[in-house]
Amino acid sequence: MNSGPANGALLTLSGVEVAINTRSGPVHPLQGVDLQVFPGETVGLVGESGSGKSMTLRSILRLMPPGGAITGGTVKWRDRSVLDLDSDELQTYRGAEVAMIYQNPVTALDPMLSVERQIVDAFKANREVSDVVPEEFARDALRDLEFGNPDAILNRYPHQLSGGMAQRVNIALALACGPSLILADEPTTGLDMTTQVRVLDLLERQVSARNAALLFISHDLRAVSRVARNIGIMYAGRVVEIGPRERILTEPSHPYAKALLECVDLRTDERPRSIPGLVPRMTEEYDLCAFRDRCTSRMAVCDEEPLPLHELGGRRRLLCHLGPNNG
Amino acid sequence: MFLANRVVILAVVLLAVVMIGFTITRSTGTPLYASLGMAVSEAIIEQRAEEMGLNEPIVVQFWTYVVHLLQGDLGVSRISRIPVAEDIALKLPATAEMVFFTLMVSFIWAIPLGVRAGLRPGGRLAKLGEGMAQFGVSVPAFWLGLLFIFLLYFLPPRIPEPLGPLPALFPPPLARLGSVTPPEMVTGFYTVDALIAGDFRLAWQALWHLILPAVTLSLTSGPPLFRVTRTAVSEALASPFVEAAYSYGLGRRTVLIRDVLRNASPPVLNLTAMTFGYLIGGGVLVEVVFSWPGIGSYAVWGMDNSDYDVVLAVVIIAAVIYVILYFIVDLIQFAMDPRLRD
Repeated sequence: MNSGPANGALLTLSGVEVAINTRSGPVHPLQGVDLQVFPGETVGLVGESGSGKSMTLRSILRLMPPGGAITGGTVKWRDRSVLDLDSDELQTYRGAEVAMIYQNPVTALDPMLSVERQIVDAFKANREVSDVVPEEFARDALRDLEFGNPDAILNRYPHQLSGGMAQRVNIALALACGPSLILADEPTTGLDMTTQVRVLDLLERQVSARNAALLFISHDLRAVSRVARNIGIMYAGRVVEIGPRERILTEPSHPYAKALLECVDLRTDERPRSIPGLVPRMTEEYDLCAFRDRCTSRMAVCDEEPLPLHELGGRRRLLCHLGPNNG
Repeated sequence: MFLANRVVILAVVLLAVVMIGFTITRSTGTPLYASLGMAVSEAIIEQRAEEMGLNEPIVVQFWTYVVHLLQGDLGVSRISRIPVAEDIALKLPATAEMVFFTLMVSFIWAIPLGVRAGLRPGGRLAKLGEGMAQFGVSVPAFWLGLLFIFLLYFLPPRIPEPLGPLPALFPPPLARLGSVTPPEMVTGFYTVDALIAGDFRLAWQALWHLILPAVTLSLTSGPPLFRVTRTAVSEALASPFVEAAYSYGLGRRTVLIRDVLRNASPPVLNLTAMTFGYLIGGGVLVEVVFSWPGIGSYAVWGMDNSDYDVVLAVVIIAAVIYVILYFIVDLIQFAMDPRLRD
């Protein structure tokens, strides 16, 4: 499962495991996540809720919930181990290298602080303030995100913003840190359809204008396939298949990826169907394939041996006994 | 809008307090016997009742009272014949100083431990705070006061040899200054007035006398402050915007002050004002235990004698203080929280 030495990748996750101690016992949301992000590229992760998408993003920033810890694997930023950073280095790494956009745009903003204060603080925390006046920077940041009257918005407070405006402010905040990688945690889930499209477009354009990379997660395959050039499919705390968008969308190998694609047929506008069976409980650790109870191609070996990793070239990877091109 | 609303509510509250207080005090007895004694004739009693206006219809009496009240006249004690306003001017600062220092003591333990317990639940300091809070709500304040006096003043000289006798706490922790002459009145706070007079020894003595009552009241009134602080901090800490702030690379200290404490402060501020208001009237038993000449003791003295104006004046003063405190808290919240300004 080791991806070897850094090969120009910005970010390399290898076998990342997270455990959270809760009152009712330990939970294992991540059970060996492998993922790479290269400079300037866009990667999307798709999966049902509980598959570990959000936790993957949090492990990249080492922002664990109470009782949570990264218990295995490595997180590498360029060729440094993120898990070995001390608290000062971590503070420098967060924001300036990797910044995050949150799912609920309004609650991700401090309700007591003005938009200007929040952007200025994020800017000052990450950049040498030399010839740029932070307040002017904040105004330009809002203008980049297509606010017609940035000065009025700067003086507003989060409760005075609509969901779409709040999410554009969050994007401005993340960009204000000047990161090389932006993590987006379902950034359009709470927005209405037309706003979703607009916010996604803006996000894509602003990220590529800065040559930053984007790691985008969503349960919505449509949104991910709009934005991402590489798509990963997550199931039960692992990335079960990852590869270029066209390959994943047209000829997926993993039975779960296939089932997911059948649910959300991108060619038609039919109502999504569901996959029979239940999402596995993450209170257990799965050595064997966690999908096999729902899998229509289950074999004897699935109940006996741990998952094999198939490197298919061109950065395609697959975790399944069936192997590639199984019809 | 928010503030205008508040002002109206406060005025209505005060009017209601005066009406209810007036009705209750008038219907629970008469001061005539207490002021004249039992061995007087009906005629004298009747004459006195006439003098005091007690034969007027209650509505007329209420009207007279309110008119006087609006002119700052709180009436005259029927027993001591001293105007109530004069007595209160002496006794309110005593209570206010005690309550103020009580809150100071609570700010030293309840709020810091509450913050710590919210940030690090289950830690040693959190457990210490929880223990103190549990103890504080479990014991009556007057009992705790007596215990302190017993342990620090009464017991040490009586410990038998070879351990004792030990020196007692001196001067005895009673009254505001014992037999020492108080400083010239400016603010009514002996500690502050002594400092204004430049007398540091006297200021220290005044502070010394404050410590035990303040610690006693703080231990028993501080637990809610500890708990509310703990809850508010742990809720603020779990907010998405706190995680977001960390993700932008803001430091721990910055996030703690800028986001966590700021967002946790409204309920704590509210409860602080409530505690202050409560202690103005609620510290009576502690005032009695420590011979503290405050308005709590004054109200009890008034009740013993059915001295209407004294009791009602204390009730009204306590209500006014509550109302003013709430108004100040509202102003602060209004300045701090943009959501209230819309």
